[in-house]
Amino acid sequence: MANRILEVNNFSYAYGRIRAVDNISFYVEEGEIVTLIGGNGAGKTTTLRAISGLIRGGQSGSVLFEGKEILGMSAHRITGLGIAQCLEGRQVFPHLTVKENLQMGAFLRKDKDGIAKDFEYVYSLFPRLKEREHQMAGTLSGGEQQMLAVGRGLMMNPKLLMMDEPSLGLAPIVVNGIFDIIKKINADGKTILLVEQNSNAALSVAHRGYVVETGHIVMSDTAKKLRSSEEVRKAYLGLE
Amino acid sequence: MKLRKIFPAAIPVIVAVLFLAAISNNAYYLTIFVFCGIYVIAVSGLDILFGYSGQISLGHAMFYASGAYTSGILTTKFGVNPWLAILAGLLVTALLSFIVALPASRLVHQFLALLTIAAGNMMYVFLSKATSITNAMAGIRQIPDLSIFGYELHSNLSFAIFTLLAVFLFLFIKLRLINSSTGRAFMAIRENTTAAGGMGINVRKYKIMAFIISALFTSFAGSMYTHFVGYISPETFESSLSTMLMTMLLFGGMGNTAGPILGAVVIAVINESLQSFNTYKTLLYGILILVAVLFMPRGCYGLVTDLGIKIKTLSRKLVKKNVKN
Repeated sequence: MANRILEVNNFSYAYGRIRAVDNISFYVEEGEIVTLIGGNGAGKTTTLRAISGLIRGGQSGSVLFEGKEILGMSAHRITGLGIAQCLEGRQVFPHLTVKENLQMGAFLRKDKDGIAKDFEYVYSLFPRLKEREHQMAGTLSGGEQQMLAVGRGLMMNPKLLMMDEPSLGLAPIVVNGIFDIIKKINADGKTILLVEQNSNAALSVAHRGYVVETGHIVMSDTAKKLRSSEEVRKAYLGLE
Repeated sequence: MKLRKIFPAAIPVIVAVLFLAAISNNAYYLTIFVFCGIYVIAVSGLDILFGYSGQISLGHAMFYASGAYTSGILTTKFGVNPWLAILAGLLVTALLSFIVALPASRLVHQFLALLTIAAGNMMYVFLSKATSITNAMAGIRQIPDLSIFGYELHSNLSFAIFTLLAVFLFLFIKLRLINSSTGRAFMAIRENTTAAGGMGINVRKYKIMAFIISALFTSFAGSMYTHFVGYISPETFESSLSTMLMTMLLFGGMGNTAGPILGAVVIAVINESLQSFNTYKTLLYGILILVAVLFMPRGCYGLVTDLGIKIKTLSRKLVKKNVKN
């Protein structure tokens, strides 16, 4: 069995008195793509943001990264440990150029050669970004901003890349492109935790999946089995 | 892209023009020149805070005051060397700005604005009431001149030259800072605080850092003021000074090198030429801020660059037409 790089045990998160995530447990093994799927307000984004430390205050339970408890740590320390998150809604730095945005991803890194190599890697994945290197990120199209967000995450050279709704608000053809890239990044050795409403696309690239519903995990299996499961097909894939 | 490079190159030209005024050795022009320089340094500092890290301060007069008063008190009451006093002023300001930044770094928008206003007013009250330390409203007199290798910067001309060097030094420091990873962290925080945290940037630490660095620029400007004028009293450091610095920044355009220079020089010169309308000066500030906010959201700098781009595209169109004909 491969190493469990991320292990979430009995994790809950409450915004004041409202419990957004209620006692969920899941894990990610090294080299996997694991996806959390489910509808609006299921608590997927809350889970990701709490893991990466972007929201704090309402958490309980345990989140182990490489065996180390990280729940409640500040965002910059968690990033330093090797977890990168591509935020929902892209969240690029609009008045910085594409190149500067990518540089920000490498903020904590000191290895110049490694950074240069990752620049090349990102540009090879997204030639479009190379073309627009000196353009302000705010002037990019939605799909390009998503590419930039993914690229920026890769520039952190993370051990675990967490992606929040990479398909949000993108045209279907662009979505396909993004998921192809996710598959490729994984094939190149990155472990990925993917949160998606676009269950079909997510399950088509993932190894395993968890179905989240109003703060609970209601189902977990290999992506293949989830895709063929009657309930998932009906509830999330819109298939009869 | 090219334009953004050319424009900063215009800075030395502006400086040269002012320098010509300096060479004319007219005491009045030289005084204005020195004040322009002092404000350029102070506003450039404010720009690091507001323009680059996105934190507003409407109380920067307090850091100008902490530099000015530390210089004034140490040199007159304790006979400390003026340069050491300036250094001490920087240390005092660093401590003061750290204390202010601790709560300030947790606040945004209007709450931060209010906190800085309150802190600025507290400083003013301290200056005007703490008789034993600041001599209250009577102010501090007979502050000695700065001297370099035994040469006293007594004449306006010598101080103007010193001002020019100081401006260059601080603009250089600012440019280096902005192009460093620290500068990028500031901008990331300004652009998107959440995402900045997600990049591994310790948001709180860098916010505090921006505050302190910004205050140090302003503190140095304050010390320069003290030694140039030779006399300080609380009314110089009222909240209207904070407002003026912010006006200069907004009017000139923030988040670049040239903006604060333009703003400081233009407003200082306007300020000076309106000396006779004393009571209406505040009204004029109001109008200037309105104009800046309504018609030039990116300040003079933005206006100039936009014009440049328009001229460029227009000339391109003309060239194309000519080629066709």
